[in-house]
Amino acid sequence: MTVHNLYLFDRDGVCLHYSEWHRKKQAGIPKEEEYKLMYGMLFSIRSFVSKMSPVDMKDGFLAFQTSRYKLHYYETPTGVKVVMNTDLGVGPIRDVLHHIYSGSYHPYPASYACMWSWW
Amino acid sequence: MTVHNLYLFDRDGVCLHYSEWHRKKQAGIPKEEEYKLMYGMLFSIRSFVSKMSPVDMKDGFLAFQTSRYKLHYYETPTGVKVVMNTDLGVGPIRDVLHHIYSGLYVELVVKNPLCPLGQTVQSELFRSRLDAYVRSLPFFSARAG
Repeated sequence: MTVHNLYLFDRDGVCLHYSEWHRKKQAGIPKEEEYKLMYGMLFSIRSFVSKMSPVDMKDGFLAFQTSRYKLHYYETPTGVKVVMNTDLGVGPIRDVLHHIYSGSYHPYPASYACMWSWW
Repeated sequence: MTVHNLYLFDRDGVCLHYSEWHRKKQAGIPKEEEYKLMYGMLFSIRSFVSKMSPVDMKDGFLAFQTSRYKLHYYETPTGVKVVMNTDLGVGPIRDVLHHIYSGLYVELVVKNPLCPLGQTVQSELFRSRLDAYVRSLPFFSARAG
């Protein structure tokens, strides 16, 4: 079981961070375009999933899988989006993605912003 | 565990068949537009999934899930696409979707000289056999839940 890569987007679609651990195949396009494609497609997929839902939606789109990998999606109420690609053995990892947001991303930039405004 | 609905598309995007069993929420758009949206989005999703794959692709896009339902996708080498929405308890059902294609659509529609291809299936036999097959599935329950 492994993690392939991770994207972090803010509410405006800016890619805040990208990391890769085990990626055997690149997208074949520049990284900036790859981030925009990922963000744009997830935006469309979320809207489609919600519209075509045969039941009342609760949380929205969570993940999709192919025969080789699984893409996990988590969006915070502030619009920050965490996207992680793993292999198929990995089940729901909402808590992991939430920790990446609240335990890693959130405190430091917010603290820096407070420091700058104090100066 | 239950099946919500099923779409069948041919290689040109024509919706050959649509059935629903337990659907609590409609899309809010006319059925023709709903079929086009489903086909178009799945086309885009497949292309996206393949492009952004961090590993070499073997089979392509298979399914996606939300916290309330799961959409299963199966495409045959001839371009016929079977799309089934179920609830979350249902695992991989490639063999089920394959049977809908080969055991029902091919046997009852393609091999029937009176059934024209490339348009919505009119065959009542196909519709009733498909309905009976889906209701017989182990993950189908008469009560949605």
